[in-house]
Amino acid sequence: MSDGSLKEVVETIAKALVDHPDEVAVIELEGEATVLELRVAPQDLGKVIGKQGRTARAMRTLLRAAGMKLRKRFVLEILE
Amino acid sequence: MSQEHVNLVVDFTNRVLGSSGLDLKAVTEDSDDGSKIQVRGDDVALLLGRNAELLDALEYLGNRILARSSGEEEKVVFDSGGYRARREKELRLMAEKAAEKVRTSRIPFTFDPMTPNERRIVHLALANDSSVITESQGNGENRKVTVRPAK
Repeated sequence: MSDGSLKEVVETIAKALVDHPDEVAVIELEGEATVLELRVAPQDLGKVIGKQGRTARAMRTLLRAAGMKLRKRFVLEILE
Repeated sequence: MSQEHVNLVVDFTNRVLGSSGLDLKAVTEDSDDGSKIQVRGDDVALLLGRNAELLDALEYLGNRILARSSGEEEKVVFDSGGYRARREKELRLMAEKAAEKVRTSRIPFTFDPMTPNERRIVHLALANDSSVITESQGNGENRKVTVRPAK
């Protein structure tokens, strides 16, 4: 399994949760840590953040676990 | 909960796990009390580390998908081996130990933050113990159970 697919993890989750999956976009920025920038339609923002931020936290938990295996750090940024 | 909806959650979870590079796979398990989703694989240590934070995250996301597709409030439980039952036993034991400590010391004891389900197990474990009272304090992921002397 390639390690470029954590972008896909975020995309899969976001698309499954929003009302406008066509407007989901994830950009990967390689640096010391890999930054995954998630952009969704403005009216879908709450859906990818979740109540008390739980959805965003669940995605970050997944990225951390996968990152431990890949020995890389991943940061999820949700753009407003 | 229909089998169709559970399958949808299993498919979603496996798509996510497949892209993650983690060696984990979700399967449906039928039991007496409805369907459960079992997660297994070589990376089970990463799944169950930090009080099963990843298992809980997958359960949370899976239930968001379920709520969206079925429109129902019903939830599906994610487990791995006998983790949930083992953890429940451990929490009950911790609750009893804490109650004993509070009873003799008369000093309140506060647990580390727990998930809603874990807090429920602690409250229930001490519900019939008239020597102590339990309450939850704090917000969101920081919510903790405190055990106090009854009087």
